[in-house]
Amino acid sequence: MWVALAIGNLALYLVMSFVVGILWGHPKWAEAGRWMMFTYTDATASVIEGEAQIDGGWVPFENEALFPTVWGSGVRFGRSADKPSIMSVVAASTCIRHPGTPTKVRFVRAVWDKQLGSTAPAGAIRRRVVLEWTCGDPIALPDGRTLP
Amino acid sequence: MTFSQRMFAAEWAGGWILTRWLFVVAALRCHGPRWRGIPDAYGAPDMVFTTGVWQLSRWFVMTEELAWFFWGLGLVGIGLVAWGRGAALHVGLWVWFLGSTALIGHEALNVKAFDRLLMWVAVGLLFSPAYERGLTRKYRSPVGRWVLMLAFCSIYGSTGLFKMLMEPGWWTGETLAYHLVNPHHGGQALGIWMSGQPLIVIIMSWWTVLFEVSFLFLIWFRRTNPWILLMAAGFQVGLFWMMNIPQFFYVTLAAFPVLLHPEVARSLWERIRPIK
Repeated sequence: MWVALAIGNLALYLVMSFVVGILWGHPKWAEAGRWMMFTYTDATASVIEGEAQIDGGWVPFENEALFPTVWGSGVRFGRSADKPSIMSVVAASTCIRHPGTPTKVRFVRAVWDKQLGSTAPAGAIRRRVVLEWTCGDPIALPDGRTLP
Repeated sequence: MTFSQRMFAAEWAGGWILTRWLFVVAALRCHGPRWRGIPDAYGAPDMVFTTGVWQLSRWFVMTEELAWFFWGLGLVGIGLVAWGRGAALHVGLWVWFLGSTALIGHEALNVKAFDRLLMWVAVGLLFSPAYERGLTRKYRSPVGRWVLMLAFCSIYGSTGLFKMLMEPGWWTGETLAYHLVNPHHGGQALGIWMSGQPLIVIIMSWWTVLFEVSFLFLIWFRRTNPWILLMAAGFQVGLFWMMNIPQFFYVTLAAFPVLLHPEVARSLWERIRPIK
């Protein structure tokens, strides 16, 4: 009987995760039962570009050179680039990892319209700064330590 | 026979042998390559994050050495799942879970759907008779299979219903076409070509939504079970060729031998290797 109850509760949890997700958004408790993959249309593509201020000028750098681990969704912070709390840590880490000892770093989202049948951009690439950071500014990490 | 007795009646357990080995392959495919990201991501002293339910970084400082330890622990767990006898399978699953979750939970920003699904497959294995030998001759409790059935109904059903109810672009093919040319999770040669073929992309799009939603219902009946699993296999092969998420293929494949109705699986097994 206990096994039947546990299976029933599991089924109920999974159903509730979906129903709550569709009606009221996605609370943390529903995370294990929430599956929403490739649901929405996204006619644009984007990448995050990095620039470092060295000797007064902005010099682009490859994110993959400083943060080489990539996932199917791109660089580690690729999906979180609009969250200042995440990007502040990325920026402070860039100041540490960049070999040119920059005074500032900034991240730019480059967006373009997708073109069906090709990965080439359709039209011009639009750029907007998502975060600019002064190297040396302290940032607290979740584990209690501080960068730099 | 009551409903409860029918629901929990022992069933042919041979499918768990294959699921156990395919789990090992999937876990190696997901966990093995993480060593490359240890200095830069999993054990990095600077890039430390929390997000959503993944708050492990609040509780301990992950050093590079510790990250190597957890990576090794995950491999030991996978090894135990592969070669451990009896209770060692359960120990292996827990050890793998600890090693793997410590890394992905601490990394926090990239806990993927295939990572979560692999955990569900592990839960199914925990409740399974996979630790026994000679399973092709045994009938055992279906609880592990029930867990996997529910997990897969949840994943296919909810993702299909979300598409059906919330995004009209799935009916015109537009949503799928644009995902196929995404520079990250798309960008495969076949997918790029398909995205420019409106008729093919509409058929694939409808097929995806109808398959995902109907899985929720058709997997439960013996007559429809093999056909919906065949569709699922085709779906996963299509994803493998057209999108850049190969791990998903290995993880879902691990559950298929058990999701197949046990009597259908048994008759297939007897055709391959007749009982003497």
